Amino acid sequence: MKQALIAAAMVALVAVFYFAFSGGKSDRTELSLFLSMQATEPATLAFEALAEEYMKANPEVSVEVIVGGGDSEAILKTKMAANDLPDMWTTHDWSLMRYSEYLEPLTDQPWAKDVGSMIRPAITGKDGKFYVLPMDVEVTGIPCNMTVLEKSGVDPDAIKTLDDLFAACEKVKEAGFIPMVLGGKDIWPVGQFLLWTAFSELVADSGDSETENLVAGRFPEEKWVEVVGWMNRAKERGYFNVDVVTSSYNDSVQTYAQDKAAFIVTANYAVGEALTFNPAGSFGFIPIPAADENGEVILMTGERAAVGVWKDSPRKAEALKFIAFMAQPENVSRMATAGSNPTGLTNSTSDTGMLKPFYEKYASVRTYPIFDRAYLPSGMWDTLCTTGAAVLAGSMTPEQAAEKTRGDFEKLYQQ
Amino acid sequence: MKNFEKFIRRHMVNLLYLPALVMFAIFVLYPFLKGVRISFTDWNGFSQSFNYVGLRNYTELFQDVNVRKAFLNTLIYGFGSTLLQQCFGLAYAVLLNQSFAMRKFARTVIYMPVMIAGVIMGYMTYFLLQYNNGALNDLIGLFGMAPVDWLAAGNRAVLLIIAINSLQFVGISMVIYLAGLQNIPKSFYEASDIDGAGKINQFFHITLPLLKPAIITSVTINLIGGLKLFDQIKALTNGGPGYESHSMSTLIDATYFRSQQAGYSAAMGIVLFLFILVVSLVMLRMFDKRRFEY
Repeated sequence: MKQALIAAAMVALVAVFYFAFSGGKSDRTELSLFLSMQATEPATLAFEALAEEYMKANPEVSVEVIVGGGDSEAILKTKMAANDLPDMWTTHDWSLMRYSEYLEPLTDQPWAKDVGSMIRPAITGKDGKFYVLPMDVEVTGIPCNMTVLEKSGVDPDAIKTLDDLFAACEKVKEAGFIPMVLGGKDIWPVGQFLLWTAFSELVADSGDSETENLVAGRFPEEKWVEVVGWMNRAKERGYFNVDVVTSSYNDSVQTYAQDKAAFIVTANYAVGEALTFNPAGSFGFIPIPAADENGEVILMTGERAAVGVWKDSPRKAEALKFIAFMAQPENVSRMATAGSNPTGLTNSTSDTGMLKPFYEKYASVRTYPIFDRAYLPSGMWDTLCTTGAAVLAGSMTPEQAAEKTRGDFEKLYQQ
Repeated sequence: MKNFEKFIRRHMVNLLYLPALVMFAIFVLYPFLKGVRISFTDWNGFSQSFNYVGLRNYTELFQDVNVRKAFLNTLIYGFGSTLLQQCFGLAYAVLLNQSFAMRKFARTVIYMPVMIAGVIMGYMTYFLLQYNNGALNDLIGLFGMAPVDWLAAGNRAVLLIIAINSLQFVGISMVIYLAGLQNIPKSFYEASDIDGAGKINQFFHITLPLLKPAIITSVTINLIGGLKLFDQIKALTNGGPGYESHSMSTLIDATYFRSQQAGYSAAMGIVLFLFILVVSLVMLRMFDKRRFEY
């Protein structure tokens, strides 16, 4: 009896292993779509809904949506190292610099002519090719809390230069609010602040742009001292929250949402997140100010719900069909509306909610690709974040931060 | 047939450890050798191509102030945590070796944090220490004190990480010392009682010398764990502010995945490996000379 039981248990075990690892062969083409997003983001849910609809209309295809969350970039880097990538993935501003080696050019797709002028420069390489379907456009200005600005007597439309921004911060501080809230524990918001000042000082500076030098591998160390200097001065004048180096990004969104801070150091998507904490809040954004009166205010644009196809995928033809489905105007509209962003294709529109009047107001403001993606070698983002955090913590001077940034720039430029 | 049986009998031991050896070769030796190779390249961690750069990564890391800082922190984490864990682990063990009510409960409570993942422990303590709504600031607020941003100053962050790591793993030392204490024959204490030795003399002249095997085990485990510290730092400070609380492990991670300098990161890993190897060998050799019998 005992032996029979053992034999039965062994058979059951073998059966479990067989069914668990054989996966049950399916006749369906199985596509994988990797999202560099959080599971709870509205855009993630929209991707999942569209995948479901596609599977219903095409029963011979199955689309597995994989949500990468916070570790997305590390996961994709590991997969690139093994040259074993998902059939499709969202590129989060890296379609050119990091992923183009692995992505199928999509320039010849039927929808390619409809790619909007706001996103086209950010995704197009020197050879004129682009590698993603940009369903929406991430616009980066400086998100502001309209209630706090009003109570502090600040007119956001009057902020044209970084000096104007600092003058506004002074007024907000005097009114008893936090001028700028930044969650420095997660360090990437620190880099976001440096993107603003780098644009003002190095790109939008009147007649003194450093873009050619940067692209040619020459790092303007002296000017970078000034880029970091703005952050240092903001810290010294008490414009950041007290726990600027230890609070998390989520803490900063809550502070911003609860009408305690005038500006949040991140991008426009913070508005959508703030509304989940305070649906009655009044939020908006301003363009990134210029370094001085002669410069221009600008907006940065980049990829958000932008999907590319692995060029070596054994299911490339099916993946391209799925991309064509996603590129249909109604699907692009749904995706862009989910992220409260403008659409990436000109044949569709989206509802950008509370930010709609701001997008309309700043429609004529010149847009540029995200600074580090356009002008710095891949890998520099971390240097920006970490050296900036060190300056905020007082463990580095702006000069030391600039020296370290130059060192990493030169090393990564050679890779 | 007989020869085959003879062969099996003679080599049975070797056959039994062969699977473990194969697993070790696949999951430890091969990645290690690959890491050595990568450390001589400028690989970014994901591209299909890279260049060999000779010893450049190694020469650079000896001049890198952030690597120096992380290395110093690693030593502080390693030796600081080890010292604290030995002191408190031994104190707990001596205390909990006495007979009193709730003794088993107390042992369980002290050992319990060991079973929690380091990253969970890190996040739990982060919520205690954070500036806004942190429990510690709420507590000192009751006494009219201003809130403190506990993790904002690099040196204080390092000390707090040591304290939290020690709090989590002191249970391991306690268990090792308890086992050691229970192995010391009672007759030694009885004899010393007759000779008129007090409790302090008994501790320093009987307990401590006879605990040497336990001390060796506990110090080695804690030191290696402290030198490799990663999870708590990641959850508490993420290596910050700036580079202030990075250990070598967290800096290697950040350099590989965030800075995309896999070659440089691999060179750091090799240096850390060699350092831990040397420390472990020195310790084993040092303690090996002091073997004794009851």
